[in-house]
Amino acid sequence: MAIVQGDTIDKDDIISAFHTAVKDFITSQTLWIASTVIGNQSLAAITGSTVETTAAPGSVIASNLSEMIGADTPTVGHVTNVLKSFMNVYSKNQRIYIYNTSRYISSLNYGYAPYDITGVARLTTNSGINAEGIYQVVEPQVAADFDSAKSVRAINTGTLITASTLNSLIADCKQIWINRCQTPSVKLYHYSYCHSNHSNHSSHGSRGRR
Amino acid sequence: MDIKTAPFNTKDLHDIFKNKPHINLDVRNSSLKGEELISYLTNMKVACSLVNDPELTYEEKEELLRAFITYKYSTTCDTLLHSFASTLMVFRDAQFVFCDWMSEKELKQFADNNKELLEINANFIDGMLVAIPMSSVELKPAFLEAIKSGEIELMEKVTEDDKLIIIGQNEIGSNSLGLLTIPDFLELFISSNSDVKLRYFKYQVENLFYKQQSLYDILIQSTVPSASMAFLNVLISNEQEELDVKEKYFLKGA
Repeated sequence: MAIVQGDTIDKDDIISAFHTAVKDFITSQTLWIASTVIGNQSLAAITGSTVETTAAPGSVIASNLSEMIGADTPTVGHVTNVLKSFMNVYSKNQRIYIYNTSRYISSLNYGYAPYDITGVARLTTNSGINAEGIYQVVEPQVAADFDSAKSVRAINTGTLITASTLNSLIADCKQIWINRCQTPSVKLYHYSYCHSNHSNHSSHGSRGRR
Repeated sequence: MDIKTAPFNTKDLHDIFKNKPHINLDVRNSSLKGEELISYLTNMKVACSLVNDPELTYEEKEELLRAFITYKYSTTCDTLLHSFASTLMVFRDAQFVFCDWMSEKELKQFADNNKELLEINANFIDGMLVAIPMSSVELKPAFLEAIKSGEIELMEKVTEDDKLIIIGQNEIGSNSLGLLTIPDFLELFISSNSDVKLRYFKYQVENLFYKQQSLYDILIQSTVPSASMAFLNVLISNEQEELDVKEKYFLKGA
């Protein structure tokens, strides 16, 4: 098991680093996605099966609620439908988690207390903003890039690593996220809405399960 | 890793009061159980996580989680908060688990044993679809009108003898509000339900506090502010305000 020497690195620091990338992504793209998708469709069609967009990334075609619903005075139904639709889109965003593998090594696993990272972090992804198939393609790419970054940084389970090396790995992970998840999502963006019967998500396979 | 049991011994108490550490708690070897333990941790204002202990029985976990959910005051225990979120997701068959303190089988068992408790809490989270727009000066009048007309169900009733009945008063506690501090929980949870009934939990929205924060404090000011709150605010704001809102909501805590 590796031990971080020098600075104490908190698990939250790693998650925070990822949130930077995620939140940047949300700021620049999710508004576009939500407004484009919703703006392209009538509200009645939002719960339909498939919605695709060909609008260029960043071209927000509906920048306010009135434009989005096509009426000056939003009703409760308009507002809650738009908000719910945004939540649907947002919740499909790519999410990246860092696991501290030492949790699985230890005979007594611990909860979610902030503790020093004592193992090599493992990067996993779930749930894509893009279609399920794209996620299946992206996931091994991310894993391969991560293995490569680990190799470059000479990080191996059982060897000592410094805090600065781990920080470098975190920076590498951010770049992997951008290269493999964020950029392709924007280029290949194609979004299928969930089927309307959300009481049974069995057709989503392992999406969302950690 | 320093693991403590409750009640704390004198040395631990000294450390807790002096340094306010985040502690790891061994539930099985603690003499306090269930609501007593939740009450103790809350009163001590200690932030804790629970040790993943394979020998801790399901019954002990259920008793503790149930006490956590219904407790009136906020308890700073991420393990229980994430388990609460997880069992709600399982209750909705949403297949997204935030924490592994309870196995998926145990989460399912909890959901089956506590249907009414989870149903009202699920409705409370769904109610954010109403509570969030209600924070907007521009949108609030339409929502108040909808409450008056019955389009939105007001979750309190006045009986014929003028007695106010608050729905969910015993089931929704401060820790239910705490669920909204989990990044993306709100969006993930509401997205799991295609048919959200509009309800306004007036008492809870306007009176509940989690760690001295109101609902809107949590949605706006927590480390990871609510994306949905920001989204709606962007849509009802002009361009300059949009930039301000983006900065305020999205970049904070990043």
